[in-house]
Amino acid sequence: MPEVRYALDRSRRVATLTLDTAGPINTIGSALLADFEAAWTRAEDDGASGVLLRSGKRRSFLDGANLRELLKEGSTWTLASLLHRFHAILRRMATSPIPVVVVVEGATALGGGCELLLWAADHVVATPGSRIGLPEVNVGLFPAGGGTHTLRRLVGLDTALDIMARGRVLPAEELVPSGLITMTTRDDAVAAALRWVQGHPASSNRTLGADPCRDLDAARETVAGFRRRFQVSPYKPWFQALFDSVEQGLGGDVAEAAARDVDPFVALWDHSNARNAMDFFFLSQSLGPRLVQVREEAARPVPALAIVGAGLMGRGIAQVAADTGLEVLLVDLGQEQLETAAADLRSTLDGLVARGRWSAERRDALLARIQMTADYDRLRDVPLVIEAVFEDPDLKRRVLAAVQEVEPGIVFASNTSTIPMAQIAARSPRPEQVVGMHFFSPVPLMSLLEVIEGPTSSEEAVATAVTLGRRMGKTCILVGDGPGFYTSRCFGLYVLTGLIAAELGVHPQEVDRIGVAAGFPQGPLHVYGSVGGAVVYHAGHFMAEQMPFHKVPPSLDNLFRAGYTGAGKPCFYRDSKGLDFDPSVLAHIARRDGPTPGEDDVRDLLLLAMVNEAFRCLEEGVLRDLASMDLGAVLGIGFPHCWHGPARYASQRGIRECRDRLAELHATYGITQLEPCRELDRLLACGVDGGLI
Amino acid sequence: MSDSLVLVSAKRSPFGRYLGSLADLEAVDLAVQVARAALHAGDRDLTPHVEQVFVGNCIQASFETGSVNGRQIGLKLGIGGFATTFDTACCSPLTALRTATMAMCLGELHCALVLGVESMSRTPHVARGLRSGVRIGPVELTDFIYPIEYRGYNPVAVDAATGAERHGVSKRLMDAWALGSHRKWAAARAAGRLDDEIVPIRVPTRFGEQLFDFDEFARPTATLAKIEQLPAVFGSDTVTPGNAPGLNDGCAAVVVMTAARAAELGIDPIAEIVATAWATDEPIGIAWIPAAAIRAALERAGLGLDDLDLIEINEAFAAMPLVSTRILAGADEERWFALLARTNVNGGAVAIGHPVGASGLRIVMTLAYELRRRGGGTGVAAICGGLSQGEAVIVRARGGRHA
Repeated sequence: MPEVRYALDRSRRVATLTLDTAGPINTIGSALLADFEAAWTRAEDDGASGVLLRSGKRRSFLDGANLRELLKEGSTWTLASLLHRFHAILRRMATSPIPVVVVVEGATALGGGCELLLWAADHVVATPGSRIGLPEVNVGLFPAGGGTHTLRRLVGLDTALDIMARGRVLPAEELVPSGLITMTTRDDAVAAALRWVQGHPASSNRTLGADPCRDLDAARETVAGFRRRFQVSPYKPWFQALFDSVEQGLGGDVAEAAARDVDPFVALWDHSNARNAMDFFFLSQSLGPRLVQVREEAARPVPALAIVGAGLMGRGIAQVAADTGLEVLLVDLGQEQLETAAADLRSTLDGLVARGRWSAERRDALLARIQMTADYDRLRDVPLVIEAVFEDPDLKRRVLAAVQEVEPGIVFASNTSTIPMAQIAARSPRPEQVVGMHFFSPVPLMSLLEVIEGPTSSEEAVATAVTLGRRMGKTCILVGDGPGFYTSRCFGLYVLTGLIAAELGVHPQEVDRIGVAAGFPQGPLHVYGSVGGAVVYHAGHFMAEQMPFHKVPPSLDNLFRAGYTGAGKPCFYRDSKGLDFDPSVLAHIARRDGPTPGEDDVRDLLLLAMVNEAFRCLEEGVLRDLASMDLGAVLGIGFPHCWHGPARYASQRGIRECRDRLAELHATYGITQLEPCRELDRLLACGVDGGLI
Repeated sequence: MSDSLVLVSAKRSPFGRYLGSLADLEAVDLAVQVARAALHAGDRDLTPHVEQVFVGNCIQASFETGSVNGRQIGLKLGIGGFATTFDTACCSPLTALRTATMAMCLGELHCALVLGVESMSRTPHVARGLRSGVRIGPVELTDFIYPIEYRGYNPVAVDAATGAERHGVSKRLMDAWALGSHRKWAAARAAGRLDDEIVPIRVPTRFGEQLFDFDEFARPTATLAKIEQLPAVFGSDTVTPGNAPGLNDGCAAVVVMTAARAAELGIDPIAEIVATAWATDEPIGIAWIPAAAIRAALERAGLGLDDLDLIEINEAFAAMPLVSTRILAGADEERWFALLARTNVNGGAVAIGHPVGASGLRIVMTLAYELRRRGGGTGVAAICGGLSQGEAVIVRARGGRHA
């Protein structure tokens, strides 16, 4: 079955090539390229006056390389030759006088698929719902099918760099101003393509002309600016590869520049950090959606849910739930809170519509599904309520009591980030109804949902929570009960360890720089301000009460008392990007006895504290498996995906080496949490020094 | 023992996957190839010196003619002395060894070939009741090796899981041990530590005779994340295909002599057999029977746990070495970890495979060779068998020229 089907319209002399590769999405592999070459040759032989490219799949036009096939092949030679072959076909199509129109019908063209549009297509006809992008950096690679040279010829250097560095995928509408894309309706798509062919019989592909970039120095300066923002970790070498590729192609020919991208791409393929990023992508796509196994019959249907607490989290959860098609009842104390919440929600959505991200219809449909009330009686007959009130055990218990009085059989899902289910359900007559659904902020963007099974949670409560979470598009991990569960425990430690490093004499900006260089998206002190110092303070003390092992560094109290808690108040930085340091914060950093750690020590403190804590969670039964460990860390709390997660990090560094290094750091700096956890010794006793995930 | 007994030669085939490389090799021929290698190790042919043959083999029906399999092997080797075939489930080859040592202690025997062989891939399906004719209706074909159950008793996996639970061995630990088994095997193989024991086997294939020369069941790229996702089997909660061995094919053979006879012949032994012992318990005790056998052997030898440099406990399931070492260590977790660190140091059955009649001898020889490689020392190899019987052998090696 050829992966490119050929059909010739004899009267118009237009050939249509339909892509349909094996597998659920269209991907680029050796079979596709061979069939493509054959089909194109046929079009040339048939004297076609135009070629249309379409997809035989509904949602996928062409979504990148067949990574699984390439990983299985294992050979870098095969990879290089595939890439050269891809370039060759694109070049052939670009240089041919035959006009090429790509028809994207509500489908995605990503990575190599997008590069096909950028290089080989003379025009693109797209229908609404089509999305195009270059997300290669998300899997530890960079666009090596000419994308680094062709995209900027379309949207300009700055926008191209932004799209590629952030791995963005855009609605096709956003590329219309470039002139490459015309939007049509579904019914008119092919006709529009044919009209274009007729109207442009002798087209010239835009990649063939002289490089529009004239001022090379200015261009290099632009690239340098992006390097300063993105090329911040040696463990994410794909950024350097990306910017090097763009830079080497400036002022030159697309095909020649693309040929020079092959070797760096192949080098990345073999790089362990890139491989980690790719493996993580596969983990989250394949195992992620089904990691937690629940019996479908055990889950209660939830066509409508209630949310108590219309604060930031409550609103975020309401937005996502309603967007998924669920009816939402948002409950708060009084009219004032509800009005503020409604206004806030509307303003957020209006912003999305104004920026062209959302259609007005989508916003309106969502808002129509949300009702607001201050009346708990409205909870009668509601199958599930998400509790998203302030992080106070007493308050949560009161809410639980009030809710259960109205509807005792309701599944009560708490969005708490630190308070054990056992404490929330302590005085409830129906403790089995209590389960945790810990969302992450901002809720629409963070895909992780930490579902917490308390000691009394029923199978129904857990199954319902997981099923609902998946319905809302979240990747669920199921954890056991305990203060801070898994994510908050490890996340809190990241911030506190950063504070300790500052207390030991490392300048806060340096601490953050080292964190970012280690691969974290934000340094610990920057993140302190991002999540809010008050949250860190309360959570930190709660954790310390529950687990004396977790001591709170004195600076945390100093900062809280001095009002350095961010979110409008002073903090480590005056801006959200963490660029404008506020030196007045230094007055509140306590001085701790001990040597001042160097860069390697700070990096190891930040990484190994989290890794150690993750294994402690595994040991205590809070974490149940290694896939949850890595998924939860990367998707929920910013553990660098270039390490895949704590389990892969420990495996690659070596468990013995991690244990010994932790013992060394523990002895040198006296930080209690760094005492190596017993699980590491257990693994070593079994002869396991790596290979965890 | 009046005169000490020594292992002068030890060889095994690589172990094959179920329906893998050894599946088309008739079990007698497999055994003969391995035995010949054992008899010719060193510069001489020990065949004329072998007085009796002791063979462990659990599923006799896997042989073309499933009767007196040991004798068939002996005759093919040209050994005329008495040949006995033992079935004590997985204990078989070590029961064979222990019996040989008893005969040697009585002075009746000075040199024996002891062998364990199993070809699980060639196990037949069985139809009962055909002899009296099938009047009407379908004929039921049952599988002789699956499920591995004895009527009236729990499946072995369930008892192993129960043992694990009773002794605080979690599924997590069993899965970690399983991963360790694969990784230790891979390291041993890469370092050549298995070269002494393995003899390549000529197997018939479509393309003519090929050489099969490595343990094909092992998965050096296994990850704990994948192992822990495997579902539990056979009615237990915690035993999975990841922390259990497979069904495998293989053979292991040793030549045992009295020290005097070895000296006469000018042979430098691999190791001395210090003591052998058996143990039994209720069937539910399958996971801790190796500990009982080890204690019995230590007592026989007048040795203590700390006298042991290395331990081999067959991984009928990952539970066995974990539970048994825990019992031996008592309440001291440090001591337990220390024991684990010297148990199955070159991998175990979870990685290498468990051809049930052969593993007992594999663990003895791998132990002896590793002790010798380390410059000498004392070690114990223990195995559990169906319905809770156990065997243990203590060996002592001096540093050898291959160290």
